[in-house]
Amino acid sequence: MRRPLFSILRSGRSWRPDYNLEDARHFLHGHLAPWHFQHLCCGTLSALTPPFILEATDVSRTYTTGGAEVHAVAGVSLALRRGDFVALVGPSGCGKSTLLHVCGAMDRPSSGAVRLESAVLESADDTELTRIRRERVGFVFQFFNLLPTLTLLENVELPLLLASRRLADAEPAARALLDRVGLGPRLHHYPQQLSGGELQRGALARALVHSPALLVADEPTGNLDTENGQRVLALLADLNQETGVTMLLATHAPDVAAAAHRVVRMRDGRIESESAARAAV
Amino acid sequence: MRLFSWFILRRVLHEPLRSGVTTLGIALGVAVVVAIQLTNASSLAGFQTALNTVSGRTSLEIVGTGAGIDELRLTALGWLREYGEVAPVIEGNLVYRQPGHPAEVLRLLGVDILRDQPFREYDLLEWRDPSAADGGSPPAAQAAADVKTQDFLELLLDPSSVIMAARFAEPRGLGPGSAFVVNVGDRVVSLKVRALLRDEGPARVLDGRFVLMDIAGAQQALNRFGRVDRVEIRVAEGTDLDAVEAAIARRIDEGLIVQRPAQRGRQVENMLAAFHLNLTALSYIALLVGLFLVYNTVSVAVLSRRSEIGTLRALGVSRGQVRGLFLAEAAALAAVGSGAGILAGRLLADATVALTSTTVSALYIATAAAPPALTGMHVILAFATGVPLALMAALVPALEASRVEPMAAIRGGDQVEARARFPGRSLGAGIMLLAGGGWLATLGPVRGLPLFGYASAIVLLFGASCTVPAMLFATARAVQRPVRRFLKVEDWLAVTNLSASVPRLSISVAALAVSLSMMVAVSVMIGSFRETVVYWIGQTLHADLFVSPGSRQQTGPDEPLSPEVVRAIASSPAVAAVDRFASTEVPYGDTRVRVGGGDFNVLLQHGTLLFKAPADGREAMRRAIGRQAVVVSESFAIRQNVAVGGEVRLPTAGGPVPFTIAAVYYDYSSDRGVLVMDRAMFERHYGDVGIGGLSVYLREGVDPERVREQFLSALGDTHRVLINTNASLRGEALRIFDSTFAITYALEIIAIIVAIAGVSGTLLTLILEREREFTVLRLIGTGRRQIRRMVVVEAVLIGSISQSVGLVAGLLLSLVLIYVINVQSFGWTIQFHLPTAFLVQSSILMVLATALAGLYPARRAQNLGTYARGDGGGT
Repeated sequence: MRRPLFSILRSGRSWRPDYNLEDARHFLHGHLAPWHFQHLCCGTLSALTPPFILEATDVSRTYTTGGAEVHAVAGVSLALRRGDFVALVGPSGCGKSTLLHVCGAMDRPSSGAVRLESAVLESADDTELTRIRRERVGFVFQFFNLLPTLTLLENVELPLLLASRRLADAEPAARALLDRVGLGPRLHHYPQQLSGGELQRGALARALVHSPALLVADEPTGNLDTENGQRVLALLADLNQETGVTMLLATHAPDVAAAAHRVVRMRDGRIESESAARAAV
Repeated sequence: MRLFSWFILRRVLHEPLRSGVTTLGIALGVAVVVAIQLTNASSLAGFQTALNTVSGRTSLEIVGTGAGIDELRLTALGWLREYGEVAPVIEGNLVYRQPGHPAEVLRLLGVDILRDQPFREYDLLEWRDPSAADGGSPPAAQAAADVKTQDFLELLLDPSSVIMAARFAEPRGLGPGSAFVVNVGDRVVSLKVRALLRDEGPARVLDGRFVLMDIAGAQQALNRFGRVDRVEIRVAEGTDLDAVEAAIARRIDEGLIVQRPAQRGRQVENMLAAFHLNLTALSYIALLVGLFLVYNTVSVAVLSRRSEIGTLRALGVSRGQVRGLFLAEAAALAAVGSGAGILAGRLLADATVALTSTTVSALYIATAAAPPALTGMHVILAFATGVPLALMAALVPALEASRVEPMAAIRGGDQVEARARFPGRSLGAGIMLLAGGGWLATLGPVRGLPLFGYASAIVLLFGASCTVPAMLFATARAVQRPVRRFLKVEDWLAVTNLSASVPRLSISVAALAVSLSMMVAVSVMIGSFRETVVYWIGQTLHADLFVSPGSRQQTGPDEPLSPEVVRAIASSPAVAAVDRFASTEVPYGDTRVRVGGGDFNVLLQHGTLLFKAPADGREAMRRAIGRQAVVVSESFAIRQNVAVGGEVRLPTAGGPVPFTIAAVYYDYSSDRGVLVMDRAMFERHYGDVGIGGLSVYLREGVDPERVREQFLSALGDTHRVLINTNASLRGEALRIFDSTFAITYALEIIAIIVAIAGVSGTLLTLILEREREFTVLRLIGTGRRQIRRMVVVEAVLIGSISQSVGLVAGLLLSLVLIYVINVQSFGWTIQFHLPTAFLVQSSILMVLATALAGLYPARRAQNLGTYARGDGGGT
């Protein structure tokens, strides 16, 4: 147990995906000598106990199309704690997808600040954003977007392999997660051989296999029938409970929003209202 | 039409790079085809137009064999005047040398100036007063009045005066009155320009490289006193030419032949047919590869515009119209490309003519070094090949476009077929085609041309192409596991992409494999050929010195060595023996062959030939001495289908004579048929045609280099001879060999470049097609570098598979080239030899080149946005 942690400390970066915060806290209480603790305080430790996992402050994102400026997101502030389950709702074009992209390290804000754990996203370069996405963020899309050339198992292994994990480690992790989402018997099927609901559950497994801090989902049930939609939604809620992963969803669907702890309503690039949903209470 | 201009034209103009590359590809292909047509025409045209213009209004000609027609016989031929006007002609080659410039061959035409006017148009003659020659005013301004008989008389008074084409004279600072020196055989002759021919009509023949002389002066210059080459007859208008020809043939002496001037042209054409067919076949490869670019471009257009096509379909555009739109795009690009290709072809022709004229004049005939002008035929050829073939290439993607559903617009791009099944059917077809190609290779030639051989090559190539999908599939499958286990994740992704894109990739890989197999086949063929020639030279070039006239341009039909030079060399104390070789060209069937006489005893004692048959060729050759027997070159035996013991009837000065074939020997110096008899026999049948060359065997211990110097200094300035030592002749032979094949490489390089552009285009297509996958990969944390590596690895895989298929297909093809096409067109036996080093080198180069071809698509791929585009959702 000792060696990996030192390697984390030495790297001085955010946490490796295979050690979540709970593990680290346990470890710190049990094993750290005071001088170790002091060392951590000045460096990475400050990232361990922030009040928020994601903190977007006064974020704007402006596009220029055909010479006209479009303020897709205009001065939004949003903060998510660990284990939060937040739904962004609003009409088409309200800026919820853009906000999702900015929070998910896919895009940089035009102005304002975004912090994901200890990482400062607004000033990160492309390489840095890529690394953050690879290690700390999971994505679920409306159209599933599993790679058609890979089997389900391979699709789920991919994020771990991209992060240079050994195949011998990646495969059991992917299998376990696919079992969890109920796709154990479909491991060697290709995406074309799976139904929409199966695809989205597979995509969910891919998004979580590397234990991200934040799961970003854009209309995750938008392309599913009611029954499959419900099933995916239930799975999202369960996994949120089980893994403590923070979830940020963009959706049109009222029932999806209802499953969230908190609902953030957007209009014309701004936050219109924010309410605690039923589940949170 | 409006739809076309909105939907296609604007897009084409908006993407100048892609449209440009495609147009360029077509243009290049068309240019090569046009250039080769022009080149082929030029090697003939040099001869043909010279023939036509020179023969003027001649309807029939009487030619002799061997040393020509004795002037004394002309009186006996007086009866020819019953059929029309009669004029004797003598022809020869002069070599004009200007310090600092390569030697140029001038065709000398000696005519009976006074009697000749009915035959040739002299009204284009322009006489200039020598005193006004430096005025600098344009020649046209000085054009004098009509040429009068009196002017011709002046030409008669001075046997060294010539009429020269202004086109040749002016750039070289020659004008009326200027004297110049030429080589005729080994002799140096001084001539004087009497007049210039205006640069039009006949004066353009051979690019102006010809001079007119009075026949007496020409005989003197050519050292052929009392002889003429032929007698031309101009039959009165309205006479039945066939009847006259038959009548003359009945009355004429043995040993003379009556024929139409065009017949000589046809014989030369037949002689060159195989060589030309080879070039033409090569040129179409370049075009094929250009078409592959069209396929690519239209594919990219269709793929990247699926949703647009869907929108059009949703708006009520029919499938047929969609198909028409993309076909029209291909046609438009092809039309522009073909147009540009015609012009580029004209420019390219200069280069290819320069590349091939060495070969043609080394192996066949003296030619003009300039391509003929473009004609309407070339324009038609360019469009008639470029446009329909481009339409064919665009058909598959256009059909694909027409199958796009209106829904594509709404769904925002549908998934591409990603899982390929094992392409068993195409593999089966491929194997059957390969077998068919093998069968075709066993068939014989058609009218001396290896048409089945070419068919076999094409069928083999198609067969190999058909195996490509299976190869791709199998390779991707085979390497998937090891790559996943031992290499990086992006390499593994590249392999999975490859196996998923088999249908899409197959055409590109097949096209690349085809051009590579061509390159492999041609280099194996040339490599084998070269090895064979090196061996042959080693076996047969035994003489210490080789002497030829200084005017000699490699092997062309040439003026002989002067008797005094032959005597001087043969009587030198350093010389042990001399093999004198004399030869003359005679018509044989529908082509022309060379009949030669050599000293069989000297050859048998000091040197040897490499005999193909019989087993003891030397003994057979010895027995041939003093008998009516010939040893024939392999190419003669193969092309005329004769064998040892057979009989050939050759036209001789005394009429047709049968000769027995004593032996067949290998000869790679020419694909012309060569028949050699002992000198005494040759002189008996063909008279004294002069010695064309000497093989000199020196005494033991004499330094050939020193003897060479001695000979050269002894001959001094009065004679120009070319003396090669054994070593330098071997080097020269290989140099000629290599320059002969330079054109092949040039064409191959073009094909490869276009093919690589094709790989780049294909990858680009694939990337556009998989844009969403790239986006997803980027979103789940694939770095730019990893994406780049993935695409480059894909490119390398494509290159490697193409190269392997190309290697195998190329080796098969080289067998067809060596054992079928080459044997049937040139009659050469080539020993198979694998240029391993070259093949390894070119394989590595090819893989590197495809990696390079992957760089641009890789850059495009890494820059695909990180947004989940087309995902519905909000902004």
